Amino acid sequence: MMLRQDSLIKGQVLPMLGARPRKALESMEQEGLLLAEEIRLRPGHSLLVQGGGREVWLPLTVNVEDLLETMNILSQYSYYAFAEQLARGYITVAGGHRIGVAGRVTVQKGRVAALAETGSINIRIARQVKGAGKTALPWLFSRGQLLNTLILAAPGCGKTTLLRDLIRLISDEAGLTVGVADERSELAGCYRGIPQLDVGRRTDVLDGCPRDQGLEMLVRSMGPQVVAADEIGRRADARALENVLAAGVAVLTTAHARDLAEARQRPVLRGLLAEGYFQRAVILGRREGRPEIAGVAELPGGKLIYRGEM
Amino acid sequence: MLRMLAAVLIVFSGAGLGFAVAEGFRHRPRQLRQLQFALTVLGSEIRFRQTPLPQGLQAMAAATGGPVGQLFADLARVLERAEGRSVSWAWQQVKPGPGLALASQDYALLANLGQVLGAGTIAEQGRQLELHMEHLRQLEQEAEQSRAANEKIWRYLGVFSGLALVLILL
Repeated sequence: MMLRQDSLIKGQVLPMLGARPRKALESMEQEGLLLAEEIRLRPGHSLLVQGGGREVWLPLTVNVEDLLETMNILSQYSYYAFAEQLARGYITVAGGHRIGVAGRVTVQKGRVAALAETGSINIRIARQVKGAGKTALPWLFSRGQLLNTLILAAPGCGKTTLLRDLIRLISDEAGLTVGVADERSELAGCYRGIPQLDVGRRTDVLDGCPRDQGLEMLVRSMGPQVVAADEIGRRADARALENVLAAGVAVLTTAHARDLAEARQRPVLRGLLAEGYFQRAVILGRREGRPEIAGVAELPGGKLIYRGEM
Repeated sequence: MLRMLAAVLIVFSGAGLGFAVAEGFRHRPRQLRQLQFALTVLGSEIRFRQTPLPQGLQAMAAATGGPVGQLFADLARVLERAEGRSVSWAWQQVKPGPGLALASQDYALLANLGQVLGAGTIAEQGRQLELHMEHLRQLEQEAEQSRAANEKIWRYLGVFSGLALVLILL
């Protein structure tokens, strides 16, 4: 495990950075580097590495040159190839890592048209934790059928990681065809349309597609038995989910909420939960800074049918 | 008889030298045309395929060949190791090969091109390339004129200096 992280960071993440921040990271203590989840570059401030529930400020004051150099590498000196993606605020690079970018944007007709100048960069390292969903998986089936499942967690507790692994397990081990609407390129980490992370061999991904449209497109075009999408919460999502249900396709999705009680207060989720849309909820938490499955609950009642080792 | 032969030989070698120098003046306009062609290649790579710059440069090099193509191949190679330093920095590291017959104003234009390569959206990049092509066309016309003038001068100079030498020696 540690070895794989090592080659991930050294092989994919470090070469994305300009010379100065790269050297600063190389001379950082190994353990912190291997736990890194996000690397933040803000001009005038120290280089920041976040991960494993802690922050490490490195002794390097980032300057504008560092940002430009990093952007040059990330874009392969080709702003034109990424302009469209940058207008959304991030780009996904080979390996599935997501580079969030803030700065001065230009607006046309009330919409963000382009990112004109880079003000700060956040590198979110895509980590696949294979096996993260293994313990929860059996609890999501009833008589061989996958139940509509909602994954609940506070930010940073590994919702996306768990969803990705469940997709992989359902595809590879349960043998179901899965369609993924990956609006923010986080689940499959697609680079030019090809998943960079392992989402299973029976999985089709619509990358960069709005969730609601993506879910319906997948049902129409790819004949999935299961569809998956990250972070539902808009009204359009609820409508799309109802259409998916009408087509007899199981749903796997996530939402921001610490527990069921909090989820029941969210406008769109409340409706879906009250109507008994979901049959299972997987609740995540953190233990010693690491994301863990807290339990699996049966819905609509909310009774815990599996309790994690927390 | 022998004298006659020597005279002819001297005239011919004089003319040969003149023609050789004149030939040199043909290189610059040809290379400026190659540069325009290379920019067209990059333009369509970017517009139709959004090819990243390093691969675009390699396509330019492959399409052009010769000392002009080598410039772009070298730039692509430098960029690979540039660790994010700017394209214009990388351009400065590229040393023109011995076969290049470009003038200083041509190099100035190329340096300018290095400032804009890869920057801006597809449309902006297209406009920049178009602008530089226009400029290259002007330089090519200039080069063509100076070729026409110099070519003649050097040819005549070659023949006449051969003749002059014969007259002196006779």
